[in-house]
Amino acid sequence: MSPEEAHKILSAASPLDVGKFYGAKKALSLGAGLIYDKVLQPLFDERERVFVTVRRPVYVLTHECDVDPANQRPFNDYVCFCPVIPLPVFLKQFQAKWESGDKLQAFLSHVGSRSVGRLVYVPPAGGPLDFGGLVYLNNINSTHVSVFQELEPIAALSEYGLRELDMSLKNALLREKAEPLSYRTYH
Amino acid sequence: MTSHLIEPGMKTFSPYLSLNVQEVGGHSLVSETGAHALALYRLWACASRWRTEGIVQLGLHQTLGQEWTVLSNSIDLLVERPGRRGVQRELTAEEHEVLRNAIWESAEIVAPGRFVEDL
Repeated sequence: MSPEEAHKILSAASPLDVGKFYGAKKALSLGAGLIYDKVLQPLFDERERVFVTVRRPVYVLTHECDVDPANQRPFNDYVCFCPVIPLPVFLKQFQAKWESGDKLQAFLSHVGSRSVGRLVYVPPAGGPLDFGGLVYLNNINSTHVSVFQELEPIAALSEYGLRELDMSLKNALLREKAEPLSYRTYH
Repeated sequence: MTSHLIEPGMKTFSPYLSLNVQEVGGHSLVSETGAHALALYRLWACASRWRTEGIVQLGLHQTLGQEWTVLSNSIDLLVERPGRRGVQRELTAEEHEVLRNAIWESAEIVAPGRFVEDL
C-alpha cells in the first residue's frame, strides 16, 4: 500500500476536517502548536537498557508562555513534546510484518477513527510528514529548550487542529481512572 | 463527509464529567464533521462558562438552539464527539513491535547510550 492510499484510508476514517488542521506558522513561538523535525532527544533502547540520543519529528506540548525567552524565570528550560512517526515509516514496518493489505487497511481505519487512543493521526504537513504521521501519546518526552534554537517548525496547527489534538490528549491521559481510588466522589 | 448524530439519552463522557444529554425539544443534532465538532465545542465553551460563572446547574439548558438536560456534573466539563470514548481497540503484541520498530526507524541516532560503568 502506498502512502497516498494509506492517507486516503486514514482521512476517510478520521473525524477530522483535514483541510482545517494546519494554519500559518509564521511568527508563532515555540509551544504554539508547532511541529518540528530533527529534535534532539533521548530514546530508550530496550535491548541495551540505555538511552540513546536521537533526532526525530515531534509535536511540542509545552505552552509557549512557559518557554518564552523574554520571560526569564525558573523552570522554563525544558520543553515537553510528543514524537510523530511519519506515515511511510510506519507503513514500511507494518508491511514488513504483514503483507496483507486488508490487515493494514483495518488497522489504519481504527487509528483514523480514534479507536486506538494512544495513536493520533495527523494529516500531511511538510518535511518528513508529507503523508502525515502518527502521534504516539505514550511516548511523551522532554528535551532542553536550546535544542530548538536552530530549528524551524515544519507545520503549525490551526485553532481547530489544536483543539482536536488537545481532546485526544485529554482522552488518552486525563480520562477517569478505571480502578477505584480513595475518596472518589460519585455523581 | 461523515455525519454524526446525538441521540436522545446519549451519554457523553469527559475526564471530569459525565453528562447525560437528553433531547427534549424533539430535535436531533445532525451535521457534518467540522460543523458538528464546532457545535460540540461551543457547547463545551458554554458549559465552561457556566462553570466559571458558578452557575453550572443540573437541569434544562438551552444551547445552540437545542435544549439539553444536564443530569450530572462535577468540577469541569468537556463534551466530545460521540464514539471517541467508545470501545478502544487494544494493540496486539505484534502491532506494538511494529510501532516500536517504526519509532526507531523514524529516529536518527546521533549518539549511542552509555552504561554507567563506561563513564
